[in-house]
Amino acid sequence: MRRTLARCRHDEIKKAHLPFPTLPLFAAWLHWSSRTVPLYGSFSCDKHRATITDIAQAFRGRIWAYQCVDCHRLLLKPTAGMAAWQEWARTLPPGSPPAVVARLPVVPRKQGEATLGRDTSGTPRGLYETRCARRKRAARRKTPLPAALSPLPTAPSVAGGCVAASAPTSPALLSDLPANDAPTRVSVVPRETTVGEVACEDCAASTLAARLYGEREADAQHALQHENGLSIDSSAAKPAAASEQPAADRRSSQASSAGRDNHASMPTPVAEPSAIPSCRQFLDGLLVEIYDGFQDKPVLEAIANAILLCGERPEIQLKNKNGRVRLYARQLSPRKDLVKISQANKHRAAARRLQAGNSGHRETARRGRTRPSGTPLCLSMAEQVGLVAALPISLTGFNRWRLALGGRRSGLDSLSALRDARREVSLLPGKQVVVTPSGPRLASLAAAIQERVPDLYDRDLFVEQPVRDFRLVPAGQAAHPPVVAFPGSPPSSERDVQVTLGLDKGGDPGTVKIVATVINQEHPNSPANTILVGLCP
Amino acid sequence: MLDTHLPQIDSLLRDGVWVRGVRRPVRLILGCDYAAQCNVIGNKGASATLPCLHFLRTRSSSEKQTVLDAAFGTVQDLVVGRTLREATHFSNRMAAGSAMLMVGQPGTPRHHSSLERRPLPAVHPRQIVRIPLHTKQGVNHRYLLLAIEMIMVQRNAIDGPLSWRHAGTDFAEELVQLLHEKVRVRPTSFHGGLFIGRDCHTIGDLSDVVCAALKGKVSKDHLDAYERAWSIWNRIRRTLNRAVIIPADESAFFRADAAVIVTLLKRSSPWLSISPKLHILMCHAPACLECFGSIGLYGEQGLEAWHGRYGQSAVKYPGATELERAAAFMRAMAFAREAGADVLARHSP
Repeated sequence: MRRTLARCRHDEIKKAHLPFPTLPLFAAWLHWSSRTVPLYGSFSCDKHRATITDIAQAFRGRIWAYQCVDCHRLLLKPTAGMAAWQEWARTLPPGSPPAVVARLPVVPRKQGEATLGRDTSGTPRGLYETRCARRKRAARRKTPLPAALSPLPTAPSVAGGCVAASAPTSPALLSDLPANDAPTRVSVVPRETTVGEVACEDCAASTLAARLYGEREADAQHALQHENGLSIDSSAAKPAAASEQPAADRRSSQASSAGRDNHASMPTPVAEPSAIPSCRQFLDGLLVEIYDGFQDKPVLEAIANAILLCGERPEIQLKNKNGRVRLYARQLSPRKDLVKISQANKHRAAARRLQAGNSGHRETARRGRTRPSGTPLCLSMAEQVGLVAALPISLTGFNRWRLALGGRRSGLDSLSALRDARREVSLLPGKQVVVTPSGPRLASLAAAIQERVPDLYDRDLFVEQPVRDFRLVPAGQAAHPPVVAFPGSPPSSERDVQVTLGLDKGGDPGTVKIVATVINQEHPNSPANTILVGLCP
Repeated sequence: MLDTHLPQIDSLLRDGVWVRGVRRPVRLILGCDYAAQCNVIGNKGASATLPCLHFLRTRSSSEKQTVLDAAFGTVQDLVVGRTLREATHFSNRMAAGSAMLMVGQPGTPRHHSSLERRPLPAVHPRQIVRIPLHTKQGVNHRYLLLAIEMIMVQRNAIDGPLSWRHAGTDFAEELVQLLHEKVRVRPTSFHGGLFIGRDCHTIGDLSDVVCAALKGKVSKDHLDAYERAWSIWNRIRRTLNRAVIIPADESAFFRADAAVIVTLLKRSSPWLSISPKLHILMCHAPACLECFGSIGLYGEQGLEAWHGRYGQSAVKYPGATELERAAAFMRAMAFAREAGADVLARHSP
């Protein structure tokens, strides 16, 4: 049912977006293409075309050949008297059964007939030494990694076949795999790849190869029976199996049969590159939201984890050649106990970036500032007058900015309204300036402070600055008033407003400035928070 | 020019500020450099016999001098130019009402016998900010001079009186090169070519470079005292210039360090004179810190920033003369208070 659904989904996608296969297909291709495929098979079965009939004719008595249970090839077991027999067999005409069998590779056998038995034709089964070592390694890899250490869920092992030890393929990816596409995905390798090479992925193969093991073995048995003359009509006996059999297996069997018929001995490159898109095609499809279904989410997460988060794992597990597993854990330790200001600022910036990334906040511009929103400004008339004066810009320049920001939609008032507001603000007593021969000065310092302090209150920016106990009071005079009392001044029980008054000469050109500051605010020494009382050029 | 604002200041101190129907008193704090403070208070400044703005104390205080001052008075008492009006002006401003009873206490006219003329505003001496910015620059410069002086003293003791001047010049050049290449600071073209602002903090942070340059050139006692003085000053300047409310325990450390550093410098370098800034730092800055909770918060940084702002912006305002440009600048800055830093921060993205 699942395969049917997957196939239907695949057909729909293929109809709608022909260059884009399913996500599992791309994920599997990505998985395989990102790893170096070991070429274990140094020779193919087609190269030694000895058949069971040849063996029966070559060894009339004791049979020195055996069939590998892994690759199903016929191999020779080194035995006493074999060298003499090989010399005899090579003297025979080429193509005769003894000559063909004598060209079989001679490899030692670790497990023989007593363990593995014989096949249906009576040929002993065995496992030669190299294969045996690989099988042992595969058995060691059979122990799955902890789920927390693996970037992807480990594929389940397949009983009776090779074990997907190091292929971190998602189960969802396998479950969603269409039956017709799975072998195609496995057999397609970015480089020139043969069916035989893929079939010999043996112990380092993925789960897909492990799943195909049983099917491939059954196909080989079927081929052997066909060679022995057992009448098997493939078209009649395997109609249902053909539908279930992956395409690559069918190609594998066809290639094997072709080799047996001595029509094609060279490996055949798999000719389905169009089924796998390039990364650009996949990203284009991702941008147009082809992969937005519920079934695609786990695959997208698996791809993201495998590619983007591979370097962020808290622990790294490495296995040496001797089988020992070493676990490397990430440990954070301060390199310096005390860093200076610039380095501390860099650390804070990095921490802010990490926090922004973890919390999923929206992307920020440089220096941590967010992009300005498109909402109009909400500046009052007085604030606009102050802004024009502080920059400074002319009213014409202000109007141009207003038009550039959208005119009325910008939230800025018109030029005439700004003139009226400026005239109104200039009438305030704290804003009036008197020009004397010594220099300009504020007409009323008290009015300027009287304007500033309630404004801080209204904006909730007023900061209380309590005065502590005065230590300069001589002993025995604890009742000394903290503030000098003037006749008619407010009671000292109230909390006071602290105002500093400073006078200094400096600058270029040198001028004398008188500045008053209301201390009860944040950053009182900022020039924008101070009051320029007088200026003497 | 401050005299024209005196009625406004008196009105502000008398009436206070009305906030939401409540009248709150105003505490006026005098915050400017030492010369301006002396000018406002009427003190003769660093050249006066009684330089301190707070206490009746001569520059070279001794028991014999104190007895003489008490018996015969000081030079300030004999100033001819002080008229009766000037002598009573401060009394009228400062000691209104019950304050007249505090004769001889800080803030009374007799206590301020070092005043050569009447004070302009009536600022209580306890409400004078202890010039943190200039103290930092002055002490930092004094430490660099002290290194050269120690070299000169050492060479004078070893090679004789003729070699100390040449040795001092050589080390001064070496010190300038060291500060430029390793500490990476450069003096300004104003303030007499001193290091200002962040450069002072950088020199303090890298004071070990200066101390390392003195190794083998001065005596071990001088070098140890110099290194300890730098370490104490590095703690003091962080408290002195930080524009935040200082915790109480840090204020206690500041008081102890301020007393130790002046004593240490005077003991290890007897030729060192106690400048008014060192005197203020040792005697008055800790009390100011404990009273107001901070010194850097009341510093003159805002006042100094206006110099640069006027120098940059004055040319943008119309005016045929400097006075007209200054008037246009004043009007614009009065309007600009409507769009202060809080307004821009509220609308910034």
